[in-house]
Amino acid sequence: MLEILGTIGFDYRVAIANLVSFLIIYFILKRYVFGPVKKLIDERQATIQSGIDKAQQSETELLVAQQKAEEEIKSAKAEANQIIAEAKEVADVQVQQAKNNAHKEASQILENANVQIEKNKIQMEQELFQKTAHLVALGVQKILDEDVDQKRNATLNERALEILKQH
Amino acid sequence: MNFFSVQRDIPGIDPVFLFHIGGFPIAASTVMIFLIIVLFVVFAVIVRRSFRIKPTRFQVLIEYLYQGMIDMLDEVTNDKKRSAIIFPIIGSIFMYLLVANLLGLVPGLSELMFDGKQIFQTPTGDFNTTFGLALGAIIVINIISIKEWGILSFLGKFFKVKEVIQAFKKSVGEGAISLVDLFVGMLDIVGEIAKVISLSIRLFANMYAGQILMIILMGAFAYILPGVWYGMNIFVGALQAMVFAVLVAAYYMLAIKPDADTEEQTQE
Repeated sequence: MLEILGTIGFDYRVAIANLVSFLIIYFILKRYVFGPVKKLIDERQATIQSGIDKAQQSETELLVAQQKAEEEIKSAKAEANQIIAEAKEVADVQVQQAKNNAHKEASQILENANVQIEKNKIQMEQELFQKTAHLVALGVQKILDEDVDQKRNATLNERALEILKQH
Repeated sequence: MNFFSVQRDIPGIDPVFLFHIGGFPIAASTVMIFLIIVLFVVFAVIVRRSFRIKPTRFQVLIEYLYQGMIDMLDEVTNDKKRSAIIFPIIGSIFMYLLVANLLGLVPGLSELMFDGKQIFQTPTGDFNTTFGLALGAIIVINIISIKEWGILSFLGKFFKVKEVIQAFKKSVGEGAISLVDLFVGMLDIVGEIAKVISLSIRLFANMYAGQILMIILMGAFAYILPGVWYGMNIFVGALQAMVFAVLVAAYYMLAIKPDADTEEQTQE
């Protein structure tokens, strides 16, 4: 076998030397080339993966924030509507109350005015009666052409008033 | 002297011994391997100093090559875990052979002489290099196989005595047939030796024949034609490195215990 291999230049010493030389190359490549290159590729992969994860996390957080914001807006709108409704209700009540008060006040004013008018009317009537009675008394006095004393004048006025009242 | 041709002697098939160190011969192919070691040391320094997370163009090229080797190995093993285990050895074989084959094509390198002998000889153009590499690879694979199967099961693959006894217990006929398996098992030992021979001779013969053909072509017509062949040799050099590495990976896969999934698929 070795003789056959010898015809194509086999020499076990060279074969061993070259194999040992290859083992040195294997050691260099494994330790100083493949190891660092693999480490770098893994690190880059990890960095990229971390970036992707962060982006996905940010996207998720953004979605959550958007949902939260939408919910907040919805909630704020609902609250605003509630406040508006309540304000409207209060305003309606207050307007109604103001209207009622105004009506009441107006009625009161009207009533007071009527009372005052009635009072004035009565007073005026009384004054009118008195003046009319006085005029009547003056007229009677003229007709009778006599002096009427103070006492008599008063009596005439009273009688004239009674007559006017009867008519 | 002819202007249109370059006459050179066809190199012999025997290794070129340059000198002896302590009675140990140093061949031209070994010197070339030392040069390759120096190149890889320089390369390792470059990797250590200049490779960063943000890669340069050169780093991208190297990482592309690295990833390509891993993908190629994944296709052979079909198992990323296995690929990771054997990648350093397969990757080293591939890179070593690639550089060795291509370095042999560098013009002028083989013209450097010492004591009338060429200093640098393409390592793969020396049978001792390919034989040593193939032998080393097959030994490593068998050691891994022993680790996987256990020494008794490993030997049982070659000496199927247990199967023969079981078959004889069933019937004499089956026992007789099992003797064939015993013989085939023993032939597997020859198969392991044949792996070393076939791996080493395939690579050596391709590279050596390439060199001879180049010299013949240069001797016939030094322009255009050798250029084409030169380009072809670059391709062949890379291809042979890949073939050797892939075959070692394939032998590794044959030597280990098949995974449960793979076994099921095979049975189906």
